[in-house]
Amino acid sequence: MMKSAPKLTANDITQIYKGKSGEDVCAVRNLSLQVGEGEFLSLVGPSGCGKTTMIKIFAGLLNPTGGSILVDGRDVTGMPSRDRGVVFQEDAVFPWMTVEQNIGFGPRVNGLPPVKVRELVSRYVEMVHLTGFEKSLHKELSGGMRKRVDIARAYANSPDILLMDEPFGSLDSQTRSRMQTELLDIWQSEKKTVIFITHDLEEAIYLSDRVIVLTARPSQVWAEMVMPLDRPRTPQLKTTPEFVALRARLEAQMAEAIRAEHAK
Amino acid sequence: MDFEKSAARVRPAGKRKSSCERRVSVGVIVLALALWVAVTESGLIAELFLPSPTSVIKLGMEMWRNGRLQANVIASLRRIVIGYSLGTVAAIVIGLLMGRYRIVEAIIDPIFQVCRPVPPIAAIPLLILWVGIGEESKILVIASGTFAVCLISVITGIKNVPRIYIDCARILGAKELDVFRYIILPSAVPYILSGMRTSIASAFGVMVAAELIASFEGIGFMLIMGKNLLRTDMIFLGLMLIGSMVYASDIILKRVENRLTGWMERAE
Repeated sequence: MMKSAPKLTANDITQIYKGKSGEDVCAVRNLSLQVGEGEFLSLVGPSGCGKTTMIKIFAGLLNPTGGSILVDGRDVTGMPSRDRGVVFQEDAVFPWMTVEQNIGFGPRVNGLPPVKVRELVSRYVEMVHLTGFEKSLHKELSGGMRKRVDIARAYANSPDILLMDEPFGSLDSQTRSRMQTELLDIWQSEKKTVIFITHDLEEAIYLSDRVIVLTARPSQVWAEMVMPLDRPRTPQLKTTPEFVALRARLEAQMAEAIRAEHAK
Repeated sequence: MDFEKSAARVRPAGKRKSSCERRVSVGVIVLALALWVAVTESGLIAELFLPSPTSVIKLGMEMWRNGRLQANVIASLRRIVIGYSLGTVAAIVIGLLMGRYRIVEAIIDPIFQVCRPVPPIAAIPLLILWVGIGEESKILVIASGTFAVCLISVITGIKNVPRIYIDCARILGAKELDVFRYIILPSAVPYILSGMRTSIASAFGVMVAAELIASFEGIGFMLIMGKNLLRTDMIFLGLMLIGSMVYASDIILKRVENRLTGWMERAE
């Protein structure tokens, strides 16, 4: 699957935290995975399988109890940086800034000249279809628009790797479907490496090159599936026999992962 | 934009609804004023206890002409502006550091907790002893009164900045200073301003107390002179002036608050 050297490597990650009564709770155990340059990888798994913890570890916001994160072979464990952009599950638009200030935030703090910042802002405002809302504040935007600001803000900073934690989880199915198509469009035009977390199997199949199934608590890699679907993909793909078969296979894997967990 | 238009249409209707209560409220004020005029002009209550409105106005005009009124107001305003600004800026800077860095809090908090129960006014004699009877002691006591009230709001504001905003900013490449300037400070502004609005009233209180104890100019000085000279009208004029000053400052701060926190979602 991996054409060249991996873009991001998670090496034997273990995350243990203290539970309510002081006992050790293991959220992630000996998890290793690799993502290739320009690859779209999805992580799926039962709820509570520590997916958000994984994203935070990948992003460098959380220092794992054990293991390391490498980007281009360089150890970046516990070091957040602009090469790894994150779109969180929650809405994280800065409410005191306008849409354009939000999108331009990364370029601005990274010292790009104002002309360049404006250029990037207008490009990404257009890309996520928010033209006319440049001066709008968070409170004036709908849930879907806020999510698009989040995505545009992550993109405008031109990270090499985009980490997305159930970004469309809170959206209604129509907006969600449109956002998926938009995300594919953007990804296609810029070819970033994406790690996408979701519990929606259809979404995972539709978007990804490869899907990894995780077990719950402690998180471990259970199975891995390559999605041999042609690109560019359109929503019609979801009803093809090929897609349905993939979905059934993935569902079976998921069910097994859950069974394995109960057997533990 | 549409929202604004409809809000403008709703507001006058709302006004009309409460116009009955409004009339009653205005009526009460008018009645109180009338009663004041009646009991004083008729001689029912001696001028020494309660001066008539006309004598207060007369005194005000007289003091305006000889410049004493402006001099007193300006003296007090100067103290409050300098003292309040110093106290507020100190509270914001120290509060930011205490809210963000546990070690700074561990150093400053015990000192603050020990000093906090002491009312700032009680420290005036000591401050006079230390820095003299001049402007410095008054400004210092106003600043410390402002600081004590404002600091707690600032710390609360900093601690309440949602973690996700700070995480996002760091991921986007913001350095510590950027995080302060673009994330923590704006996010804490609503708390800081509410602290500033609470502390302005206490700042005025401390100022008047300081002026009552030792001053040659200012509203507190007017009040104490009124007592010494048995000029009740001067006391009344002083009370009205200080009341207006506090009222005006609150309106200004409310405006600033509305402007700076316009991004917040408010329940209408």
